[in-house]
Amino acid sequence: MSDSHDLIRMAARGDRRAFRILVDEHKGRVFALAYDLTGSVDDAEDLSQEVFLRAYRSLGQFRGDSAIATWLHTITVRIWIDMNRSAGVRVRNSSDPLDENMPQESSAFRASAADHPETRTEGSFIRGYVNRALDALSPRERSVFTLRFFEEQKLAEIGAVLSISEGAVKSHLFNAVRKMRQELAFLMEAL
Amino acid sequence: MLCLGRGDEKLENNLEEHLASCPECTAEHKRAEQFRTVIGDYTRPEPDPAAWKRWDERLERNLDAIDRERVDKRRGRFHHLWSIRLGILSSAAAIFLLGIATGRLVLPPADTVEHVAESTPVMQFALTGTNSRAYIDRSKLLILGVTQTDPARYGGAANSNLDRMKRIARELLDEAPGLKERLADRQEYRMYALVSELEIILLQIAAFDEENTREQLELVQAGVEHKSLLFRINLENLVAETQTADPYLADTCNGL
Repeated sequence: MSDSHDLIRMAARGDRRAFRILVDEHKGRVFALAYDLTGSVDDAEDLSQEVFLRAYRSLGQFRGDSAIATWLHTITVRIWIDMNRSAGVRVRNSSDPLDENMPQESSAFRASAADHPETRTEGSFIRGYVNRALDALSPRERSVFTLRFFEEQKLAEIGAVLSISEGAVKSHLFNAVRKMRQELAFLMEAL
Repeated sequence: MLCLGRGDEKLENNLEEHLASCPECTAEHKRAEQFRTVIGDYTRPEPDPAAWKRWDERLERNLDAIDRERVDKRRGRFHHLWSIRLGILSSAAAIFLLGIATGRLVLPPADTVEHVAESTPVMQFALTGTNSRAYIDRSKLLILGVTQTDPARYGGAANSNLDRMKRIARELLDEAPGLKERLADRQEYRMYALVSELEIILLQIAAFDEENTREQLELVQAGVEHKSLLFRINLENLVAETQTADPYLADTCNGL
């Protein structure tokens, strides 16, 4: 069993320090995926928090048959899809937390991201258009596209995260790429 | 290829060969490469260390809240069960003991060896000691039987084990008042308290019914653990072994 799986076992027995180590190892990637899915720094912060809280509550259910990162990605995508399904509209650049029960706290990242050099240059320009294009996708399509192009996961892994077949992954991916290309056509020609 | 990704050399060679002779596919390929470039230029905002520190603090607060919730839930479930059941059982115990007391007043005392043996102090001590030890040993066996029963196995069906437990519990409950009277006379208050607490557990066992066996088993198990009854029974046995060596150590041991 890997060190990470040992940490999960220790955390499941109540060792908060072990869980803290896992959080530090994976929070960057979880936040990145959360941002890719939500397109908003605020929402990404809330979503990434919720991912680790959900993981903490369900440590005992982790069977160790996948990598920790895959497990956390699965939680991230499922929370996001569930929230989209129950809300009826896609969460986008909202200032409200994703979870109504979570305390209202100002985003730890909002000021940080606004001051980041990237936000004032071409990076943010492209990011804005790509995020808007991603909004045109369904939650499944966006999840598949994000995991394929930004997380560089294999199709089988994406299928495991979303509990769908590889064929379904290909189908969603094909539709997602087609829509994204339509949305970004002008950008593709300009670059 | 755009969706499936690169890596298949044969496929790529075939593609290049085809593109060399197909203008439409060449144009499509160019658009696909442009798309890949746009997506490749996509960047995410990178929070600075101070922002991460605030994120961590927020997570810690939420994790603390989950831990508190878990502790409160465990405590609340136990207290909720006990507060309702104890109220009912206390009333039942009071009525039961009143009935026993009334019976004793009305009915003539049984002509038993115990009354004859009470004539001498040593015999009185030995009899009470022997009876109380036998009583708590039998109670211990019954409680061990209950605590080692898996509540998940009981789902409302009648069970011969259950009937036996109830019968033994009723027998022990019948003997308890007489024993407590003798313990009170001997001022053996520690044993008196133990028998009183055993009575509550015995009442619960005697009241097991088919419909709620699982819940009642869990309640008894929780009560035994909460009151440390098995530990206290073992302690009494240890004290009793010391007393058996010298009956006149009784007062000293009762002072412990």
